[in-house]
Parts: sequence; structure tokens; C-alpha cells
Amino acid sequence: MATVNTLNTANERLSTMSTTAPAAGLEVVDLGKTYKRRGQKASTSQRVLDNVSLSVEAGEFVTLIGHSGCGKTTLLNCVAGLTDFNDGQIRMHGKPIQGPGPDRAVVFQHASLLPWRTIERNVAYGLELRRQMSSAEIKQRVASAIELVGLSGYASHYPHEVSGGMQQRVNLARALAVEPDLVLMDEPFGALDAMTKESLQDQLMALADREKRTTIFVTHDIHEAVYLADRVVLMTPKPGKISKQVVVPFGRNRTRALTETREFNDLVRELRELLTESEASV
Amino acid sequence: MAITTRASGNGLASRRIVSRPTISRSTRTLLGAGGVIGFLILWQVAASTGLVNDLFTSSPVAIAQAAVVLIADGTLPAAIASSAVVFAAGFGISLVVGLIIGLILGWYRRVNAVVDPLVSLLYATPTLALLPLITVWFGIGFSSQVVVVVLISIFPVILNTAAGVSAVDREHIRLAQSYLATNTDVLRTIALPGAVPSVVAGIRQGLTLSLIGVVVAEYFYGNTGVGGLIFTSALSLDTADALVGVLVFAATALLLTFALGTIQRKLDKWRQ
Ligand SMILES: Nc1ncnc2c1ncn2[C@@H]1O[C@H](COP(=O)(O)OP(=O)(O)OP(=O)(O)O)[C@@H](O)[C@H]1O
Ligand SMILES: [Mg+2]
Repeated sequence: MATVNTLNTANERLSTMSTTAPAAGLEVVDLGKTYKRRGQKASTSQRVLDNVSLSVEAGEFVTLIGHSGCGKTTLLNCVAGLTDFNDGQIRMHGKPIQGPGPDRAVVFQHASLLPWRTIERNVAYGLELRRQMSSAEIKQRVASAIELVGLSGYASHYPHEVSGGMQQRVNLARALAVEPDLVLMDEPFGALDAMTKESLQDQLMALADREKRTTIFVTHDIHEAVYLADRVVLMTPKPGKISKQVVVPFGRNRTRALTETREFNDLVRELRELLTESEASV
Repeated sequence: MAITTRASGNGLASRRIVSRPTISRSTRTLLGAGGVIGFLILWQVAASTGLVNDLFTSSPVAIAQAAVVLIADGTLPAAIASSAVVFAAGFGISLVVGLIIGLILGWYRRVNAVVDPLVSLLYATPTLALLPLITVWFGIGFSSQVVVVVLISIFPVILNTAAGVSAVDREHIRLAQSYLATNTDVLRTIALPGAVPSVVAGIRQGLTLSLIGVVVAEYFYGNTGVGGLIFTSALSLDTADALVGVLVFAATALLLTFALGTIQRKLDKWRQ
């Protein structure tokens, strides 16, 4: 029976882990967000995030799971600076964020590629907008990002000429190309078939082990959440709250074989129960 | 009611969708050319045997002869040059002004709210109804001709450009914002490239309408150019000369549409 570490143990683990890492990458403190919708008769408001606090250490891979509509995308968008919030604060490297920043990049749920740009120019998009590099430097950076996600040879294809899995890899490469301190991934593999999904998970994991880039990865899929994460964060809906955080005790450099082990499956089951429980209690 | 339902049902069932052989491009071209040549031969035979009155219908051979004469005495080249100037000026203005107005209408919502009803009203007004007024405002001559061409051809350019520019994908805007794009960046990297197919479609319509505009303008103002040639020849029952003029317009329309189609395919390479 695997042990589920709750928040306290998680923090202990992290504090021992991160002695050499720079000051905490991301801190979300008491975040609150209310959507106001103007109806025909009266305007309604919906508390989507309430008292959400989360910190992510540099180099950590955190997965965020929760039922559909519990506010995962909203939380991610707040961190990305794409959505404003009502209460609390979000800090990167100790400084409050104001809108999007060059320290963060988003891997979108739908690949959101620009259909009139080739793969290469899609990957270059973020770098072009930042205007900090010469086109020669951009070309070089793009080539290595494309190679990183295994798309060499497809650079001059248009998005409609490659598969859905490849489009997601372009989506990933575009974010990695700007070398952000924090990568925000919103169910990037949600729309893919099981086989493509597994192979992309393995590639992402290899990448994460190599690059050690701080990542928040949103998913519905508990299996995926455990397989990829250093720490799994559970959200519950109405209003969206963080109910549990669980450190995954398997170390890095994982392989598929891990998913066959009893410990892995016990942890998946426990998380599933926690998720069902938390929903039932709402 | 019951009968029509049954009839259409039978029609569907009897249509064999499975075995519709497709024909190759070269076969198509060959068959098409055969159709045109067959028509020309029939026409010639009908005219030569007196089956139809060739005073009214002319004949392919008579048209060819008329063309040779009109080219040799310089009438046709001069007419074409004159029409080309009207076309170029009118279509050129429609293109430049239409693209600019369309871009502004598509991008600035407030401007759109103010100007859109005005544009729609102008678009709905039949240009031909304005011809006498255009005479009052611009006289009879080149400027009136250009105004007519512009009025007939500019609206598809404006409306298609505006529609293309304003139809930006919200997800693409978020993407741009996440990389700190400015408004100009969004316009440059998202709205404009996304609008290209719609803009090209507008230009294509504008092109065809400009040709129609040239004919109308030349009929109405001074009988100049190829339009004038057709008008005066037909009045004096020189049907062969008139048909030479018609052929010039038809050939020009085909050529321009073909050229634009080629450009369009190049620009649309990224679409499925
Ligand atoms: N722009 C908006 N205006 C009003 N309400 C919104 C808006 N966006 C999201 N919501 C509401 O906020 C809640 C959380 O939405 P969110 O997209 O963050 O959920 P999610 O956890 O990402 O769901 P999923 O897993 O299905 O993607 C939902 O109930 C949704 O109806
Ligand atoms: Mg979501």
C-alpha cells in the first residue's frame, strides 16, 4: 500500500529537496476569482476560485487534477496573466505578476497553431513577438526546439499537413522555444488517442527530466497525473479549491514499467477515491 | 405531398452514387475544346447555308475577318488601350481604397458601427440609378467612367476585407497575448494573414464587376473604348465588329480570373 503524503509531508519533502534551487518559482496566495455574468433579468455571479494557495518550486513538475468545470483552466489562466482575479496574489520569483510575462509560457488545450504559418514559423511565433533575438538566433533556437519534440523533417509543413499528436508537439515546442521559467500546460493531451497520448507522455517526461523546467500540467486523467508528476494537486469544485496535495514517491527517470507496478496503481486508486469523495462532499 | 416524397425517394434510390467515374484533367480540356469548336462549326454552317440571317448573327469567319481589319487599321488596339486605362484606374482605386476602408471597418469596431449602415445603404443602391446624377457631378467623360467602375466594384472588396479582418479566432488572440503581443502585433500576425482568403475572394468579385463597370461606363459616357466599339457597331448593324468587342471582354475576364485563381491557390496553400 503506497503512502499518500498530504500537504505537510509534501512541504517537508520539498524543503529538503530545494536547498540548492533559487527562491520559490511560483507562489499563489489566497487566490479568489468570481465570474460575473449579466443575465437578461438579473446578473449572476459565480465564485470559480476561492482561497487557492499553491507554491511550486523551481524545477518541480506539478499536475493539477479535478473534475470538469472545477476551475483548473481558470487557475492556469490567472497564473499565465491571461485572466484577472479578484482576491489574493500571484508571485513569480517573489514579485507579483501583472499580466502575461516572458517568464511564463502556455501550452494550450487546443493546439492553437496559426494555420498559415509552417511548423517552423509557428514555433518561432513567441520568439518573434518578444523581439529580443536576431532572426538567425531565432532560427537556431527554433531548430533545436523542433528537434527536442522530435519533429525534425516537418519544419516546413503546414499544421493541417501533420497529425493531431504532432500539432500538440508543435504547441509544446513553441512554449519551450522561449525558454520560460514556468511552463503552463492545459490538458495538452486531452484530445489525443490513447497510444499517441502515451508516447507523448513518455517524451514529455524525458524532456522534463533533461530540462528540469518548472511545469504545471492540468489534466483529467489521474493515471497521467501520477505518471508525470513530482506532486499531484487535487481541486474540488464550487467554488474551486485545492483540497489535497500528494507527493509522488517514485523519483524521476520513470519508465512505462512503473505503471504496471502495484504501488503506482494503488496511488492512482487512492487519488481516484479522494477525488470522488471530495466531489460527493460538495 | 405523399407523391412528391415517394418520387424523390425513388430518385435518390435509383441514383447510383458508387460508380461515378471521374475524368482526367486532360480529357476534360479536350472535351471542353471539342464543345467550343463544335459550336463554332455549327454556327458557321448555319450562317453559310442561310439557316440563320448572318446580318444579325454574323459568323465565326466574318468575326475573324473583322478582327483582322480592326487590328490592322488600329481601331481595336486604340479601343483596348482606352478601355484598359478606365479599367486600371477604376479597379486600382477600388482595390486600394477598398482594402483600406475594409481594414479600418474590420479592425475598429466603433468606426464600423458608425460607417457600416452607410456602406450598406450605398451598396444596396443600384449604381445604374446613379448614372444621371454622376453625369451632373462629374460630366461626361473619363472621370465619370472611373466613378462608375469604382462604385460598381468597390463594395465586395470593402465587405470581404472587413469580414476577414474582423473574424479573428479568440484562441489565437489569447495565444498572441500570452507572448505579450501589442494590438499592432495581433493585427499584423493574426488578423491580416487570417483575412487573406476572404480578401482575395473580394478582389476576385471586384475584378469581374470592374469589367462590367467599364462596359456600362463606356456605353453611357461618350462611347469610348471597346464598349463604345460594341455600341456603335451594333447600332450600324456591324454585328461582326460588335462581337469582336464582346470577345475581347470575355477573353479579358477569363484571363484575369485565371491569373487571380493561380495567385489565390498560392496564397491558400495553408488551407486544407
Ligand atoms: N469566461 C467565463 N465566463 C463565465 N464563466 C466562466 C468563464 N470561463 C469559465 N467559467 C466558469 O468557471 C468554471 C470553471 O471553468 P474552468 O474552465 O476553469 O474549468 P476546468 O476545470 O478547466 O474545466 P475542464 O476540465 O472542463 O476544462 C466553470 O463552471 C465555468 O462555467
Ligand atoms: Mg479546462
